[in-house]
Amino acid sequence: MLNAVGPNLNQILQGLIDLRFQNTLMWAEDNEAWTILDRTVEDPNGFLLIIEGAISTLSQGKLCIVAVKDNTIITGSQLIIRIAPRARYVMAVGTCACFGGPTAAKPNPSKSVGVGEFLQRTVINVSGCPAHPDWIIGTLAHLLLFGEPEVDQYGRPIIFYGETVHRRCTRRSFFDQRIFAKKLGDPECMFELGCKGPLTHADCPERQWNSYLNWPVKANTPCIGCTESTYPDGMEPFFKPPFPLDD
Amino acid sequence: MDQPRVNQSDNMKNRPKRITVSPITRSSGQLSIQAIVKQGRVVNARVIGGVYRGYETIMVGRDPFDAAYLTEKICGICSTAHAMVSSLMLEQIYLTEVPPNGRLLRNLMLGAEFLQNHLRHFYFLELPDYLKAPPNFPFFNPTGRDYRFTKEENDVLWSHYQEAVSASRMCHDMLTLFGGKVPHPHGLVPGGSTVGPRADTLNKFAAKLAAVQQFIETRLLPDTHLLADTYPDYFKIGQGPGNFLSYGGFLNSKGQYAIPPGVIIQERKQTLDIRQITKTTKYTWLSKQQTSEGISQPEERKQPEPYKPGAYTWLEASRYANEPMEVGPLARAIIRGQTFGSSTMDRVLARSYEADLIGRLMSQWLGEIEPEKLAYRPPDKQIAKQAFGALEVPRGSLLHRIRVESNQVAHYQIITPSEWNFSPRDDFDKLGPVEQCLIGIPIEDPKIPIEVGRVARSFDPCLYCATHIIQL
Repeated sequence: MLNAVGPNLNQILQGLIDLRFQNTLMWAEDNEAWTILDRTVEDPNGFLLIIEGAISTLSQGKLCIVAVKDNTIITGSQLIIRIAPRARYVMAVGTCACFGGPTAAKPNPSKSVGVGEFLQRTVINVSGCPAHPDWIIGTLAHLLLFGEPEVDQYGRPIIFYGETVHRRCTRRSFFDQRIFAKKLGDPECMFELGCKGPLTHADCPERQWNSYLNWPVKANTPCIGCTESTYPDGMEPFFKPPFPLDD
Repeated sequence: MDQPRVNQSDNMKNRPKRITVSPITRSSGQLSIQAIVKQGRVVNARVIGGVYRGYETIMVGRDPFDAAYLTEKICGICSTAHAMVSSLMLEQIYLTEVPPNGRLLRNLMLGAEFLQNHLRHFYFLELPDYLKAPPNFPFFNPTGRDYRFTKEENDVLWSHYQEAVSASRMCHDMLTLFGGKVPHPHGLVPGGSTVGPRADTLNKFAAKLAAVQQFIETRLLPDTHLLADTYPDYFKIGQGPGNFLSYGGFLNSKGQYAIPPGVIIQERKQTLDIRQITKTTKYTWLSKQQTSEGISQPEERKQPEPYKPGAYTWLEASRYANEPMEVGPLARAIIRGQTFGSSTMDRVLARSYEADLIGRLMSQWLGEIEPEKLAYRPPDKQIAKQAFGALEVPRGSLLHRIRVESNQVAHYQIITPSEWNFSPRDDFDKLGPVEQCLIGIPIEDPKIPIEVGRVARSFDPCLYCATHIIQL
């Protein structure tokens, strides 16, 4: 969110949302922060819950200790079980929260899962490693202005995840003519160097990243499929083609 | 923690009191601190790192070349650091000759990551411990704190807090020009930078760097001095173990470091010897309780053991020559020969000065680049089975180590900066650096122990990093 451009962080907090609890940016700490969380959960106006990170399930979630209160450990999974049922919407942000992502990569030492699987309920998945600030803020704006966005079979808003990277790729004409980059840093199609653009649903080629300056293929490297439920295990090795091409 | 001995004749005020500060917000990852306060001072403390993921187990069996992109995912705040150190490591495994432009562009990318980290830490994570936000911001208004700025000073700092949003974003924009995106850039790989130095890209980078340097000169440095002048007592609060470590930061054309490596233990300078690094787990929720092991020896797998008696954190106790070491901007400044104490405010000053220094180094590197020339050369055949990469990154000393067998990762190990600073007691019951810092600090009001968070934040905690990747 700190990298969001229009609206930027100041505008988001003043105009779009009434952010109550966020561990990295909130000014309150300790009991005061915890009280804010409790009060928000009880608020009759309801709230939107945004979860980052996968939910670790090994030993009741003790691998993610969110707080210690009255000498008792409160784990991430316990907290989510308590507050998620009261949330009007649950949004998972980042591929770990959506599908487990790198945290749940083989052999998944923390037995982590995505939020939807953990809660066994419908959540709005804003995937990506990281999720683009526009995808997060855009989904929030859609929820607030027009209600729930239309989503694909993985719960991702189709306005952002409707097409593959490959379909909109700026180097698509190289692919069509089978002109492939020989090494990283080359200006041609990255397929032979492992590009997972054909498998990956996201609008990176059109949108671009960080003030819309660049994106991985423009930086002469392959897409690694970070918005997909099979990432990272199903996308590795990152530098080997996703499937053989038969011409 | 040891049970406090309660003397029945003491009055209530003098009785030892256990406090738990949890969660320590404005840090990356889950952090809690427990302390015992007696007669208004902390007499015992322990740092609880709350997250474990086992990234090093995850790395095993994968293609070694995936390390740069996958280990980045450990942490969104300093992903470039992991890409850089794992690239240096893989360049020992595969025959690689990084072109001069590749080295310079990687320095510029990592430099931009430093600036982003230091700016965001000062304004968004640290300053709110001392600053009052306007009343119309509910998200920003905790109560009952030790506020000392005048209204005018406070107004100026609040406006700079807001300006820091775009200034710090600009650091990431710089990195993106060559990295493709941030967090988790793609352009920094073993072999150099995949984006070459074209005149237009360099020019964009230079313009953004100039704007960020201006922010550092006209905002960050004066604001840091104002904070230090207003809270001079914090030059006495939060004094560390007096041991400092640096692996060296940013390589120049002669293979030397722009920021020197070194070790200081109790004011005695030593030459860095990586083999002196050990980790112990007596107080960590991991199996395997005794032996301390050097990084030069193969390690046994460790397993999560969440109910281990006596343990209180997911972090291991990293030690150098059996000593807890402080790492980060202050350690680097002292090893560089600058005069500093080892307090909360010394850390704040050292970090801001380092941002200024790195901005100037970046201008220099920008001038050394040969436009249009090669910036990347692909790594060639395998020449070694095991290697490590060690470098200074924003929060301190970062180390990656790998062993490759049959073109797969056979073993991976990472030791992050916060694993040094926020480490628990070791097998000899010697406290970790932050734990030592907390001993003796005054606590004005045990119900709102703001002093604890101020001391801990001066280390720029990143517990995702530290705890997500404790080795298995």
